Amino acid sequence: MNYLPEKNKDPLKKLLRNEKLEQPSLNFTTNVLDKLGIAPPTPSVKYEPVISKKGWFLISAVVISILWMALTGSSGSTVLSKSTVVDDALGKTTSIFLSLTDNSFVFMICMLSIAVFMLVSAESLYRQSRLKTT
Amino acid sequence: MAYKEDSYYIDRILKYSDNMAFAGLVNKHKTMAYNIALRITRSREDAEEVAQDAFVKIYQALNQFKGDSKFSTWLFKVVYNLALTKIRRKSLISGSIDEAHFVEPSNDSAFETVGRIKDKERKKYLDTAINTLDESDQLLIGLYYMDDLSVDEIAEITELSPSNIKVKLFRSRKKLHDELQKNLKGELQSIL
Repeated sequence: MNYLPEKNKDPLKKLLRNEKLEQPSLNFTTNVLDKLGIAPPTPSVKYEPVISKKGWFLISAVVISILWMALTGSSGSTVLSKSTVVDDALGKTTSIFLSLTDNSFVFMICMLSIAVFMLVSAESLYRQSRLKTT
Repeated sequence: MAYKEDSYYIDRILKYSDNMAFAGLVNKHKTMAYNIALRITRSREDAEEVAQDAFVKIYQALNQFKGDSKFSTWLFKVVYNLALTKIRRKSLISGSIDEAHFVEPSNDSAFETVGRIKDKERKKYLDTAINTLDESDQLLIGLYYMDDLSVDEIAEITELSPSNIKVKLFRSRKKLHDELQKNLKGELQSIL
């Protein structure tokens, strides 16, 4: 004896069809895979340096040549001639700085190099901290 | 999200050792597995644990799956049994039910009336009526009407005879109808 009406025509089916099913937690599948030890391998993050080795050589060459120009006075700046007067190390440093500030182009290049150096250092520190956490 | 046939994932795992294909099976069936467990355990935490453990068991015995029945039926049976074990102090769906003669409800007016009520109100009426049923009957109503499983599938999961399930469903359906009718009548009287 079957008194159950045909399911698709059953008004109770129509009523309950609208009842939403509860959803399991978002990490349900991950938890199952973890329990089975088949969790997907976390993709290894490969860090590429912002500036390549060649780039560093180029930057070094530019910075060294700028400093050399500043020290030898080949730029023809009048301030550079003053540096020969000063004998002590402090005096030399001051004169180099003065010569750099005197020549805005050279100064700009130096500032740019410092900025690049700071950026690369920050990136390197960040990379190290990420590696420690993983 | 559209999922592939269960056999696709099972083949990937068994033939190609693609263990990650199991994630596809989990994603496809987790909601149903969780809801079956939830109806039995009545605790989200327990249901989550039961459903997850069922998937683990299924994975470990996957090479024994012959395909005689649907994969989902096999999974839900494991969920059902694990959930029952979880709440073993309660005896769900115990004892056989005599196939007595039942009187068919004269009509489905209460169901149709509730169907015309706004969503929020309807849910209130339905929840109240469903909560008057035994836990085992609530489970059967959920499996049959909400999870849309067939009587045969429910029989395979619960190991009850199909006729027994039909009788239980019929009884529960009638009780739900009467309960809804009673509540609706009370509501109408209070309005009038």
